[in-house]
Amino acid sequence: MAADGDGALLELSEVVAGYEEVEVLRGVSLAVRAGEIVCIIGANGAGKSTLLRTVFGMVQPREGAIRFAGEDIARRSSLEVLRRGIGYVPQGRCNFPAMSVEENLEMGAYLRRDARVRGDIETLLARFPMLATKRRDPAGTLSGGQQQILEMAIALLLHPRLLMVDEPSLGLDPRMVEIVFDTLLAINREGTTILMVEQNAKKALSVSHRGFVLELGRNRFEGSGRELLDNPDVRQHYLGG
Amino acid sequence: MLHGLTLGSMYAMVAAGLALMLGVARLINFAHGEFFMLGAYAFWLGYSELGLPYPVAALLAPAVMVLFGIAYQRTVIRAILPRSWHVQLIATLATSIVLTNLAIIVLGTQPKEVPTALSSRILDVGGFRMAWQRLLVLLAALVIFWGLHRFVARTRTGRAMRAMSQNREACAVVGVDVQRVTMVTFALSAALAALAAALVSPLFNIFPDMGTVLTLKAFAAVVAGGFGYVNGAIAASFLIGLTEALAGSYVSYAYKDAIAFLMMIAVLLWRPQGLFGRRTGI
Repeated sequence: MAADGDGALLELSEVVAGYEEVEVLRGVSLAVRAGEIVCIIGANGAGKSTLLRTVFGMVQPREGAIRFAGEDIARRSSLEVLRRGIGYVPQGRCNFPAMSVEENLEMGAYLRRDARVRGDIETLLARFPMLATKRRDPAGTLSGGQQQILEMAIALLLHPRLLMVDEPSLGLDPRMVEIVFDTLLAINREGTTILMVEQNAKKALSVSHRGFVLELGRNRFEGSGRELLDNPDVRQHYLGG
Repeated sequence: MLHGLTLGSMYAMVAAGLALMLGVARLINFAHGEFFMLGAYAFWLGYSELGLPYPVAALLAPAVMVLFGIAYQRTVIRAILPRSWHVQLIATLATSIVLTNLAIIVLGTQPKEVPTALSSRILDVGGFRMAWQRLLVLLAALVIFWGLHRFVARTRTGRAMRAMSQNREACAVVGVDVQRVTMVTFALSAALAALAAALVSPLFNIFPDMGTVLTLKAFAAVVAGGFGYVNGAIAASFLIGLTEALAGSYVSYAYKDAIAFLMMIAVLLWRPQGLFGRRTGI
């Protein structure tokens, strides 16, 4: 199934990638347009996280093309991908647990040397009061949800054009899941395009403009969030009937 | 007691470097004692052979070892970092053996003595006598540890080193150049070992295999100090130095090393997580 790449901010075509002898992505194609929220759903082992890692330069594609804003970024290092405007919040904890919340945010601006860093950190702390009240606390002492918000805030400090988020609701209580998704929506409204991988498919599709379903490293379905939620096959196999 | 503090200072400077490498690069450099040995010979070359003033020769040694540390990281370490710990162990041990034997071939087995004006002058305070050089070792160690603390806590590179010791993947996500920070860590660790060598060489002999036991003692300090926690390794080093000196004075000089290691075993039985508990990062 080929993705429509017209005017795409990010476009993958026929990407093959994996780890050593294991081929995880077997010709995935997708496109993310500027301003969208796009989610990728699929069973465990479908290649969702590998797809994000491949875009971010952590896994080198063996075949296929990855273009961001018209530029070929396949086989670029993570640092180069980051500099081009793609932020990434991986699955699991991705902060510096012994550093304070404030130091973590400073690390988020590690590549920046401009004078506006301090102001941006204060803006983020004002936007996320749950972080502001713990700005001097080690990040490792925060709850799972607070750490997830912190990690998104860290990624925002480089003002990415595209933010990739892997399993943002993993291990969070329902109240925190709502807060995390509300945050993603707010980030998107401010102009950041979002590509997320999510096990909570219903929730993810309900907030996404479009979605892709991966199965064993290949495209299986794609469509708007509503179309996929209404698709009987998707409902039966990926949304619990 | 003072001898123990001098020994502790030497162990601490070497162990701090070993802990930095373990914390930041997740690698135990079993050739680290040879960094000390090469630093000592660089100091000997500058001071005894080239006739440089002591402060100049003492700074020449870390300068040379910074270059060596960078070369070592770019060749051996870069190649073995992605490999298993077995490969890392064999490669760093092999480097240790190669460097020791190269030193034997090039410089011979005859120990070198490098007495300085400060090592032969005795300070007498109310009957309490010690070489001025020992006082210099203690004061210099304090300044070096303060400087190291400031560097790690305050500078951009130091913060990146702390970050790498806490979460390597998160470093890639925020754009830390992991290779460059690893290189700086090895250069800094080599400089610390060479500074230690330049400070204590006037008090002890220099010989090719002087690094072997030193690596083991520094490793013991790193383990007891919390597996990569630098301040813990420094504190454990002083414990080893003092135990060794007291054992040498009151039990038996021949068994001082064994007693120091027995003490470390006791510490690990009592607190397997290290003297300062489980810590995250350097």
